[in-house]
Amino acid sequence: MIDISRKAIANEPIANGVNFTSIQDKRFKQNLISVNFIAPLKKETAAANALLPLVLKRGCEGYPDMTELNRKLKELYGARLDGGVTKRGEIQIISLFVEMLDNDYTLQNENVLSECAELLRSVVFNPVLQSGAFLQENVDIEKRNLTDMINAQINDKRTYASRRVKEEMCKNEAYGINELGTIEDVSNITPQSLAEAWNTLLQSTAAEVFLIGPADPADCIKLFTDAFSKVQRNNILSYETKVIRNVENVNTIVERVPVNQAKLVMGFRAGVATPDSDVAAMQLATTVFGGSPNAKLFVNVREKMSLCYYCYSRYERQKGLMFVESGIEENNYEKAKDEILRQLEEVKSGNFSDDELKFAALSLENSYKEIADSLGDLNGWYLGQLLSGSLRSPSEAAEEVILLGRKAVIGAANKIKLDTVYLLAGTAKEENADAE
Amino acid sequence: MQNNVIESKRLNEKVFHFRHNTGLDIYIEPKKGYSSNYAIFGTKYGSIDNRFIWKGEDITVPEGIAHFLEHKLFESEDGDAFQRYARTGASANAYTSFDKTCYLFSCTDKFQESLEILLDFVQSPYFTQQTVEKEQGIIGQEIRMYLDDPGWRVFFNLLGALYQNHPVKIDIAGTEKSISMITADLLYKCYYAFYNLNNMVLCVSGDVDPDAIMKTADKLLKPAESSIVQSKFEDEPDSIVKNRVEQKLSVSVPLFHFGFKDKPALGREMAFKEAVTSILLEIIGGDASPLYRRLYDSGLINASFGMQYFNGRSFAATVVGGESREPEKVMTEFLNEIETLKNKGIEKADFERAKRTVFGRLVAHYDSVDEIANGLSSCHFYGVGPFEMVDVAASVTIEDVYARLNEHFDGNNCALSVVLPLDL
Repeated sequence: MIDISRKAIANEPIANGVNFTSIQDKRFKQNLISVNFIAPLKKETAAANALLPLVLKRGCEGYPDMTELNRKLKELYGARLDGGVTKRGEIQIISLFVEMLDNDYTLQNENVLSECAELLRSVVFNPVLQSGAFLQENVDIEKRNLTDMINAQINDKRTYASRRVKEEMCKNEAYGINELGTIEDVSNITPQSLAEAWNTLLQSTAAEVFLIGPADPADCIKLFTDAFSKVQRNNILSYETKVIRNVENVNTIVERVPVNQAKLVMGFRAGVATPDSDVAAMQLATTVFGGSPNAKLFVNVREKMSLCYYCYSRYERQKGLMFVESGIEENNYEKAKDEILRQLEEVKSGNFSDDELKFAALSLENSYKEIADSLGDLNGWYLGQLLSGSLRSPSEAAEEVILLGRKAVIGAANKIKLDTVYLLAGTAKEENADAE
Repeated sequence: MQNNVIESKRLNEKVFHFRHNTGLDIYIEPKKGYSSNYAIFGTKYGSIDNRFIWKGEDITVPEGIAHFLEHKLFESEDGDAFQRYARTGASANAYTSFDKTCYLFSCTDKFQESLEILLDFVQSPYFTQQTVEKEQGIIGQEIRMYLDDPGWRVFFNLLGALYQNHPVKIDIAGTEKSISMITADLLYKCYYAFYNLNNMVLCVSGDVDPDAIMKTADKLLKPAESSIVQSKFEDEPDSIVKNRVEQKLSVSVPLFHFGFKDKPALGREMAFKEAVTSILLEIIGGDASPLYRRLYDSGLINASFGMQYFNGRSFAATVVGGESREPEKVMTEFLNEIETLKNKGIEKADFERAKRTVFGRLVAHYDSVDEIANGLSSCHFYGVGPFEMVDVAASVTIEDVYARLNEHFDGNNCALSVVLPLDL
């Protein structure tokens, strides 16, 4: 097993506040190019930033019509040009990317890479504008879609509950802001205000550009260096995530919608966040607690007590939070909550075997190392690394975890404090929703 | 032991196929330099196989039993398979689909050890009344979770509208009532009927050594009885049950699926139908089509719109779905577009683009050991070669697409399923 990604990774600044990271890897049959803008997550800018990728995808210089642009992509073997926003800590990442078949696999040895790279460049840097503003029709259509996307966040109850606990727990913090914005903020966007947001991205927002796959990066680096050189970039917006480590009162929220299965989500302040030295220990501690089918939560809350179909914990390392999510029957709410907290106490008291510790480390090691086999996972991993100011490979992260001992895990676990309990439960009259 | 090597120069891939003397088919597709290794041990037994003939007996079993069995197989007298995998660091899972059940793991180290665990626990059934009762609680929760899932419901309701008799419309996990009828004896019966190596397949992909895998197979595979199980399906008429079904759930915008029931196929015919239909769907409603643009810009559909040829052992249908405030209108526009294409014809350039898109997406599949191993298992059960889909897609002609356009879409084989918000 070779750690290919580590050998062939190169990273260089190509403009003020912009880096280009390339990973040349001949194992893949596709290439991925992504442009990721790193903006502070703020209520005033969230909605416009979320709308930008949707509007930008509708056309560019050369292909101003959305269908024409999509036709070109289909010709290029169904290349996928897409984008969106994600939240990491209190940072909003605005991404546009293109994923395409590598030239070697085309039917007639075509240079799909250079055409796709140029399309992506054009979509980001040369969108369709009229008198310096986006077209009204494009903006209206995509505002409607973004509004629907915000409303649709209720459809999947598992992710909805997960989102709600964050909103409640961090209602006075940037982390509680919806990365898609609010319905009201979206409705207030105009073609001019959106163009201003776009200018802010190009001129003042930090960016990370990636090329991952078998292709030689030279041409692509030149293309994006040229593109950024045509923009005046100064005063790069800073971004940071405020970490809160203490809890004054535990809040409990119960929300009712017609559902068959209740969702219990518990939010904790982990007390540890990047760049603290014990982030790896916290990752391992949460894995021992609830990160695998051999963890305390699965073994006890699901298998031993049959209280739920799923029960696991997740660590958000930028903001320093831990969440426990489970699908339960409302009747078992107190039982499940008590057992989850009891298992956390077990970890804090060191009541876990050497095997439990070893298995958690192995499971983490496995999940880190698998990252090397996926273009998307490599992109996500190194983006996270660059945000924390490092460039460690997944293998290096795995090595660090293996060296951690029981003391480190107990130390990290004891910093975890319960902050918010959120229950999404059914309405009083049981809607036994049957099809007609 | 019969073995052969299947190569694809176009894809730069190779598959080793062994017919082990115990009856098991084994496929290995090496991926040099990959960190993860993936193995899947599956049986040709799924939610549709609830009636079968075995050892002269005509047996009908409760709905959801294949899925229940999958959960229970992980357990043994002294623990469960997850505890064993914990030692090797493998990430293990399983799934039951309509026509097969698969047990799998992925790992970046100790591959042989994890493979031994997989082969051992799947061949070692252990069911007791106590362990069955415990699982009823957990699976009960799983069923309830899926009852709330609007995507799952809109799809299954469509199947119920399309299929009169075929068990593909049955919920894979069954219902809380049907699983209460499951006993340890019934589980053993299903196990011995279907978990016979002649009915199963082992597929591996990653930076693996085929010889070492075969040694492990020799060590652990137990020769199978030659008894043959045969699933029994009632005849399914061409006609559908009803052309509309509706349900209300907690969603913000209505979800819809409409589908066209098709005659099922296997082998080359199945690969061909899937390739041609995928290309045809791209032409009709792919995101470069005029239909898509009209529907998208008028707000009738959004980026969630998708089309798929849903097919398996004994069933097939084209399914189109997404979110819309006016699902009926979307379906009408789709049907109108089909008529327009039948009358006006298909532009050669549109056909070429659609073909390249389908081809490109099929090639991309071979970058993932997960998709490769799962693909190998499906292909085996359907009698399709490991690279056949890509080769077939590359050879589809515009005449093939015309033929398909004219025979597949029929006003009589189409149904619409919608999930509406509660306050509508």
